[in-house]
Amino acid sequence: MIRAEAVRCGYGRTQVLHGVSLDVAAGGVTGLLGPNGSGKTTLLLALAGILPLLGGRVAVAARGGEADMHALPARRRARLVACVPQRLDMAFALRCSTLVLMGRFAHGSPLAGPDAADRRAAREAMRATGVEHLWDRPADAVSGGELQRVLLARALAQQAPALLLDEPSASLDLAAAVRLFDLLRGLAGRGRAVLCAMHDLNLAALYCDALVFLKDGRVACAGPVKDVFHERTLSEIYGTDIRVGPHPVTGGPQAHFVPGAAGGGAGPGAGPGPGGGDPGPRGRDRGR
Amino acid sequence: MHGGGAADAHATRAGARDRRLWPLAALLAAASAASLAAACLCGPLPIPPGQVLAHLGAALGLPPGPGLDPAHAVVVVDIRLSRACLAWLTGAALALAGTVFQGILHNPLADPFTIGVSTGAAFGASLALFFGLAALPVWAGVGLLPVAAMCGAFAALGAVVALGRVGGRLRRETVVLAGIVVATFLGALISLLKALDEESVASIVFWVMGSLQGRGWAHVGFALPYFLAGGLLVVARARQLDLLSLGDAQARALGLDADRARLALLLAASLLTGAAVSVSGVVGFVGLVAPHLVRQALGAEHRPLAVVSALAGGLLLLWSDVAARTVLPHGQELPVGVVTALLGGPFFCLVLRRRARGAGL
Repeated sequence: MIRAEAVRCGYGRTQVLHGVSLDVAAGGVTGLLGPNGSGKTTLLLALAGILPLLGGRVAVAARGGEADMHALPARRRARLVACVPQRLDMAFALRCSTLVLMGRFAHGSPLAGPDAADRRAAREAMRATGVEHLWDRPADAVSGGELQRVLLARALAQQAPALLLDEPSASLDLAAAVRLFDLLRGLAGRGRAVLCAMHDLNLAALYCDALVFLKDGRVACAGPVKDVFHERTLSEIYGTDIRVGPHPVTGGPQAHFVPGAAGGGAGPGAGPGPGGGDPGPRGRDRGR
Repeated sequence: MHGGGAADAHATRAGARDRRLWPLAALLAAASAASLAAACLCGPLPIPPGQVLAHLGAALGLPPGPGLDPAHAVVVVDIRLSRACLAWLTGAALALAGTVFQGILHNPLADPFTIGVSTGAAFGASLALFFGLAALPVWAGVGLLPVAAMCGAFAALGAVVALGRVGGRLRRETVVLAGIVVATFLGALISLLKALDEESVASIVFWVMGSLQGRGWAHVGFALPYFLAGGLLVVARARQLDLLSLGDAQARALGLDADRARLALLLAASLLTGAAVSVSGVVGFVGLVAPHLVRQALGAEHRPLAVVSALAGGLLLLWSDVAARTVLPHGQELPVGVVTALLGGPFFCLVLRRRARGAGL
C-alpha cells in the first residue's frame, strides 16, 4: 500500500531519517517502534507526504498503479492516506464534530461546507470510536483520551485506504487502548493498511502483523512479529535488558523489563538513557 | 462502544447549534436594517421622524407622500443614509478581515491592522495629502485619496508576502514579523511626511484617526466591489480557516494546500481592509472586538463566525459613527476611530476580565 524507498528527510539543517525503506501492507497492522527521538513521527510525516524529502521516495498504491506521494495534490493525498496526530495544537476551541468533519474536506468541493452525507460519515466514524456523545462538545473540554478517539474518528471519516497513527494509545486507559487496537485490527481485516507508531512493545506484539524498529533514523530491524520479537534484538534496540515470554492467553510473545538494567545491554552508539525525556522530532542532536 | 440509537439524539443536538446561529444572524440583519433607518433620524438639521421615513420610503421606490421637502431628501438619502451604509459596510469589512487575520495568525488578538496593510493604506493616503492631490478627481466623484490608499494597502501586502516567504512557503510566524517590519517602516515614513510639511499635518492626522465625514454614495460605489469580492472569498474559504487553525501539517494531511489557502485568505482580508481604510481612514477595534465577541457566543467555527461577525461589526461601526457625529454640539464631529477606541477599549477590558474570572484564573 505504502512503500518508502531510502527516505531521507529532516527539519532545517537537521537530518532525522537517513535512508529508511519499509513496506506497509494492505490488510495488516504494522507497528512502528523505537526509542524516543528515533524518527517515528518524522517517518509518519514523510509517509503522509507532508514533510518534503531530501532523498528517496514514497510510493503509494493508487488506482491500480503507483503514485509518488510527494507529487500528488494535497486533496488526493488525503483521500489515500489518513493521519492521526499525537496531539493537537488548536488555536481556537473547535467542536469535536467540526474536527471530525474536517476528515471529509478532501471529499467535497474545497469551498463548500459539509453536506448531509459528510455528516453521516462523521457520525458513523464517531460511533465507531465511541465518542458520538461528544459531537457538540468543544474539543478543549474533553479528556486527552477522548480527543484521541475524536482524532481517530476524523481519520476514519476520511475513508482513506491507509491509516497512519502516531502513538494513538498514549493517553488512553487500558480498556480504551484494547478497544482501539481491536478496532484497528477490524479495519485491517477489511483491507486497510494500518501503520501505528507506538511505545508499548506488548500491545505491538499482541496486535501487529509486522514490526519496524527505528533507531537513530535508520531501520534497525523489520519483519513479522515472530521473526523480530526476540530478546537480543529488543535489548539491543532499546539499550536495556528485555526478556521475552509467552502471553498467558494467546501464547504470543510478550516483553518483560528488568529493573535497573538500562544501559547494560546497549549496543554501539547506545540510545538515550532512561529519563532522557522525549525531545520530539525536532530534537537537536538526533541522527547527526 | 456506543449504541446506534444515539444517532438521532445527535442530529437534534447538531440542529440545536444551527438553531442558535440563524436566529442570531437574522436578528443582527434585522437590527442592521432598522439601524440604517434609525441613523437617518440623527443629525444637526431637525427633520421630523415621519418625514425621514417617508423620504427613505421614497428612495426605496414607495410612492412619496405629499408635502415632502426635496432639500430634506438630499439630507436624508444622500448625506445620512449613504454615510450610514458606508459605516455599516466598513464595519462589516473590518470585522470580516479581523476574523481572517485572527484565524490565519492563530491569535485572537490580531486585527486587520496587525500585518501592516492598513499602515500601507495610511501611507498611500498621506502621500496624496502631502502632495496636495487628495481631492484630484479620478473616479466618479471620488478623489485620488482612496485610490492612493488602496494602492498603498496592496504595496504593503506585496512587501509583507515577499518578506514573509521563506523557501517558497508563507509561514505564519514570518508573516507576522514581516508585517511588523513593514508597519513600523511605513509608520516612520508617515511621521516623516508630517514633519516635512506642517500644512498637511492636520489633514493627515485627522485622516489617520479615521472618519466618515463628508463621505457619500460615490465612496460606497468605490469600495463596494472590493467589499463584495473580499467578503465572498472569505465566506467561501471560511472552512479552510478551520483547517489552517490546526497548523500547517494537519491542514495538509487533511487535503488542504495550506500555502495557497493562506495566500488567498490574506489577499481577501487585505482587499477588505484596504477598501475600508481607503474610505474611512484607520478605524481601530471593530476588527478586533467583533470576531472576539461572536466567537464567545457561537464558538470558533469560522464560517458562522465570519457571517455573524460581519453583521455585528457593521452594527458596531454604524452606531459609533452616529455617536461620532451627534455627541458634540453645533455639528462638530469626532473622528469615528476615536469613538470606537473610546468605547472598545474599556468594553474589551471588561470582557477579558469577565472571561478570566469565568475561567477561575
